[in-house]
Amino acid sequence: MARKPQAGPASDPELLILSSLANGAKHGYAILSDIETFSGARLGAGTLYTAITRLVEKRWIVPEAPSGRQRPYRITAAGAACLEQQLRDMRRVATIGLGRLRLA
Amino acid sequence: MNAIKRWTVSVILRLYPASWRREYGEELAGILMDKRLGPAALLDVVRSATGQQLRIGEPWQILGTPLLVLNLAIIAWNILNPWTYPDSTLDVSPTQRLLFWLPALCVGCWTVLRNPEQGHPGRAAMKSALLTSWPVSLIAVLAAIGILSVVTLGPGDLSGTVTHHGLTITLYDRLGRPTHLFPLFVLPIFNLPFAAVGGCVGGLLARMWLRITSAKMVK
Repeated sequence: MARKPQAGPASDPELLILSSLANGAKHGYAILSDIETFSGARLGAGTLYTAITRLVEKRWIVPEAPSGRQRPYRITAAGAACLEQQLRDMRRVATIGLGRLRLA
Repeated sequence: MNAIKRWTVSVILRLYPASWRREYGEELAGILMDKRLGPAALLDVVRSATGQQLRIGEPWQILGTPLLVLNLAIIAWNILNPWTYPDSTLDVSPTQRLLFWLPALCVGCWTVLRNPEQGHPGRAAMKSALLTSWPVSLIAVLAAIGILSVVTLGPGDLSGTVTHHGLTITLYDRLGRPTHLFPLFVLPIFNLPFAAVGGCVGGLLARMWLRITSAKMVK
């Protein structure tokens, strides 16, 4: 029996994967390369698949038909909504934080 | 080089639960084969596999595997230091020990908590006990083919009074009986019903706990 999934992107790898899939389906290796390109973060393969497992269980991403050994993943509508909410929250916090830094 | 890497990848993939491996194993293997397998990458995969084991692995394997490693370590220590009585002696009556009953209870309890409808706590505890105790049968086999000598100590015996050469294992019997190899060989199987009882008691406790917590939630 799988553990109950958490309510939001619980950790950075999940957020990074959702962001990577936001512009189209990708397989594991492409996700790793994309994340490294846009964020500079170098995820380990184990960390990547732990996060992918959680995201699939939450139905925020779904696997598509495999191409060779690799299987592309696609973000779902629920995943996209969650990513959008998470990024809006982050932007709000960032705006407030940066604004206060300028005031200080 | 590629063959060694393929072998390493297949070994580390075995650390994941079988159901997880069926779903994601091939993809992960593909990525690991393409990337450099340094210590950091290996540690990352081991950490991920441990997490998946704790999340979806079978409780009897999760608890049984460290106990098996502990048992093998005790046996190795016993053979390397056969006369450090009584710390490194192996008890030939493990059912009289808390270390036998506690894992059986825990496996039974965890099995039911993880899968209240379909979990079989007695069966899971038996599997765990068998996984943990098969090295005892191995001792009997090694002794039967003459690789290992078996010395049995009872209450009051002092290790210093026994002298032996070569590879020797020191067993302990509460009644001071000499150890016969066939009973030693079948000991893990003989202990299975006791493990089943321990597992069922653990399962019963878990079901009671679930009933209490669900009653509280209804209120």
